[in-house]
Amino acid sequence: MTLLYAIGGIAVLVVLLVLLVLSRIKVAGPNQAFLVTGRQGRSVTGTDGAVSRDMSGQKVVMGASVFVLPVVQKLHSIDLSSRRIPVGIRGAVSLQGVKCDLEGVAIVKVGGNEGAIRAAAQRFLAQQEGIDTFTSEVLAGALRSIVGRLTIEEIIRDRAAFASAVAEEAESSLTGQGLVLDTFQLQDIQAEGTYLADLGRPEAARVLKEASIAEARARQAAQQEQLLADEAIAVSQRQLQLKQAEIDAEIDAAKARAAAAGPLAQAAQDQEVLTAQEKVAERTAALTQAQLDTKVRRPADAERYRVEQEAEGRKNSAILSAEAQRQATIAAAQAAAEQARLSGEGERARRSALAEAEAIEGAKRGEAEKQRRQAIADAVEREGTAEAAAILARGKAEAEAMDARSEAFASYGEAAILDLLVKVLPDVVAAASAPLSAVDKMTVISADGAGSLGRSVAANVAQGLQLSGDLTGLDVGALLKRLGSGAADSVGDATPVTRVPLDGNGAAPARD
Amino acid sequence: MDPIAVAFLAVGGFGLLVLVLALVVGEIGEFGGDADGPFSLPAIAAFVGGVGFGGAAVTALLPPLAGALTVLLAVVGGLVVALPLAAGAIRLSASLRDMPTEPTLTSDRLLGAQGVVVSGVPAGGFGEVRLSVAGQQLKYHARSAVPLPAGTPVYVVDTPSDTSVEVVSTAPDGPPASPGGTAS
Repeated sequence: MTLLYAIGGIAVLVVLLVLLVLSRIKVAGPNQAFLVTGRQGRSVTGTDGAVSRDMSGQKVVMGASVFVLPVVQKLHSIDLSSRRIPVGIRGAVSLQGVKCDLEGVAIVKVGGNEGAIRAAAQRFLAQQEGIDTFTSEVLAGALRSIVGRLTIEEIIRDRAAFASAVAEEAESSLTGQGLVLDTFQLQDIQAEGTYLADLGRPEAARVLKEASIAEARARQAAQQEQLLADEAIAVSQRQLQLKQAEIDAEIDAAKARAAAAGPLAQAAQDQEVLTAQEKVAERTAALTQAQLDTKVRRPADAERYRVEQEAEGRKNSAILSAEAQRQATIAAAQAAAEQARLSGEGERARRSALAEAEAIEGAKRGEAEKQRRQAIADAVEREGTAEAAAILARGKAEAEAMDARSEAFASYGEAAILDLLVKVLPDVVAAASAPLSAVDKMTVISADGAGSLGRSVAANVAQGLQLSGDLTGLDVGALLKRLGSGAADSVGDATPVTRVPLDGNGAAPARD
Repeated sequence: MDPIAVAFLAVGGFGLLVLVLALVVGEIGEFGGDADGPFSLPAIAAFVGGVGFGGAAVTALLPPLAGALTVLLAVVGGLVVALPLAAGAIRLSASLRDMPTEPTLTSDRLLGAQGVVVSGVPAGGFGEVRLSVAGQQLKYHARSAVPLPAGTPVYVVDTPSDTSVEVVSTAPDGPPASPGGTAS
């Protein structure tokens, strides 16, 4: 166990020894310079025989490693970094006597060789921050000196002259301190008054002029190009729109065709459907007609035929019956007319005879009795003749039934009138004789004797008849005259049997 | 455990403690002594530690003997271990003290350097040249007997100061004839 401790201790001892020795090696950074002091310099024998020691004991190390013995050697570090030092002077007088203010910046560092490092270390090792202020003040004086040797135009424009002047000043002021002026740049120059501004005015004016000209030309060219471009665009747009219009037209046409295709097909289809329907309707009509023919018309025709036949039959039968009826009626009417006429004739004759008989009753009663007896005899005598004539007239009338019908009717009218007249005639005569009947006592003074009285009665009757004829239009006188002639015949025959005209025209004169 | 061994281990531990303190806190050689030699801190610490741990190892290896004899033998063994350690530390430190490193640029190195004029060198005035020295580009103020325009290849013939050089043109046809150059 002890042996292990011992061996381990020896190993650790060796490692620590090596580490300790190596830790005495110091390494300088790239921006650092080491000065190791403490050793003795080499002995140098001068040309005059004097013995001295050089600075080799003061070792300068840049960016490398150095072994520093403890206690007997001392390591010092100096920074080699650049230092930005602003420099500003006011009221510097240039070579032409123009006052100006300058501001600049200097980049300063400790020199990069052994001598410079030694010099800088001697001056600034313990006050490296003081480098800035020292250098700034030194450079201000140097700048003032430089401005005094140059004109403002040279300061501004002649970089080489300015750099040369700066280098000269730096050589005299900074190099001795181990400092290097890397660069020195002026940042601002302000001359008294408007000196600097006036320097640039001609050029500014020229530049302004050229700029204006260039702008105007550029604007002109731009406008021209713009117009040309617009024109080209317009042309292209016109072509585009024309193309678009053509395409639109084609599209519209195609759309219209497409849109019409449907309705046209529909119409054609409808037309076919209608044609088919029309055929169906025709067939249906034909079928219906055939059905009607079979179901309605033929039965109707048959019915009509049957009805016609029946009606014809009825008509014929009616005609026949009417004919028969008519003939029967005619015959009955003729018979009645004849009967009436004959009865009228008879009555008339009887009345006439009666009246005449009564008129002459007073005067000729006796004669009348005689004549009556004579007439009776004549009547008996001629009775056969009258009957024969009647039978003859009847057969004749029957033979001429058709022609005599109307005349029979007309004759019936006249006969009626005559009948009425004959019926009222006695009243007329009575009325005419009424005034005479009211006479209580009548004295007749007349050359004609008492016969005028009868004439007066006859004149009254004649006047009455004339009056009635004027009023009624009937020639009563003529009728009476014809009646008188008939009465005379019957008086002459002394029979009341009425004569019947054989031809029927006996009454025609009465109507005239 | 053997008290003798414990004592030797304690001595070795002390040596280790000194080394650790020197590493962590820094050099503690202010109390005197040679900084680089037999009496430097690493040498002393190596010797002490070597004696301690070496003696402890010897006590562990030896059979049980008399106390004094054991201590004597342990010290002898410790010295055998400690002396090479101390010598090694001294040699290592000495070898590192003179180790070769990058040499620092001096003005003498600029002599014969070649470069090019970046800002015209007027007659009697300073211009600027860019020199290529030891693999790096350096800019120096330059003087010349004749004006040199920018772009002229130059050759350093003198270093009047740490920041300026005297150059001559190495252009094939010589410097331009114009007296003022471009820097007039």
